[in-house]
Amino acid sequence: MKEEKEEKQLNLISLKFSVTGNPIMIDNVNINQPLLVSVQKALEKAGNTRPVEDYEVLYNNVILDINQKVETFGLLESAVLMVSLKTGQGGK
Amino acid sequence: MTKFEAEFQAFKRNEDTYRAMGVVFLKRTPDSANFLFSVPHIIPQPIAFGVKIDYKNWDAEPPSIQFIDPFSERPLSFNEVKIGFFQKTGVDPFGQPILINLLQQSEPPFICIPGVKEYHDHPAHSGDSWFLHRQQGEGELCTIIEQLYKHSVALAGGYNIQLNFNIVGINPDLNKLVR
Repeated sequence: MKEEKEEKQLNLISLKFSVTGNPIMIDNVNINQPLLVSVQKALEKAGNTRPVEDYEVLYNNVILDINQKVETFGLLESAVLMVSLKTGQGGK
Repeated sequence: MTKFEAEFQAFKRNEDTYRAMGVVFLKRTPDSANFLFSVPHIIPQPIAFGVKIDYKNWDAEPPSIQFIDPFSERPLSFNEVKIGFFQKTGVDPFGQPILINLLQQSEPPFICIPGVKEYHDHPAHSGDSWFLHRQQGEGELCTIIEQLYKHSVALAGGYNIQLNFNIVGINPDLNKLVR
């Protein structure tokens, strides 16, 4: 029982999101969940009303596939992920 | 509070976050702000470009982005912007350039993405009115800064070095002197 509880706690981390510059901390992020879940929470907390599909998430200058589990990315405690609006199609 | 002041204050609240990304606020006027973009993850850290983001007539019109020398504020020509801006489209594996020059490479360049005045003013985008994007957040100052960052600084991998050298002689290896 105690071991189960400890294992559950090991699976929980905190992530810091920068939602269009606003710092949003999401605690108790389960690393076995898709990152999408935490991104949605961060957007709600930031008061953004657009759907999560309109945003992209960068970490260390790489755009992440937020449908992957959090543990896939090897994120450390309090890693900062940048959430910003996707750019509309541009160019010539 | 004017609409641009609200945009600027949103930036100021998060200025530390943007500075860590290499975005440095330089100066402002009642309806514009100048920024310097550097590349913190390349050592030594280069200054990539400066911009003046002009919110005159915001938000009836989107902001205008002018590339400038961050120290003298002189407008830069296309040739003088030494970092590329690319957008992934799923078609071109190398990404689509979004820093455009209209006529010649000596002319001022512009960023060709929705939410920017130069994009919506261009005849090729007459079907994509600014008013379709106005309420979507695309012209907001923090969003514009992040778009400029994502499509240039975030993609920067290292210095592009070109060497010209002259052969001036042959170095002797004095260890080979017969004693």
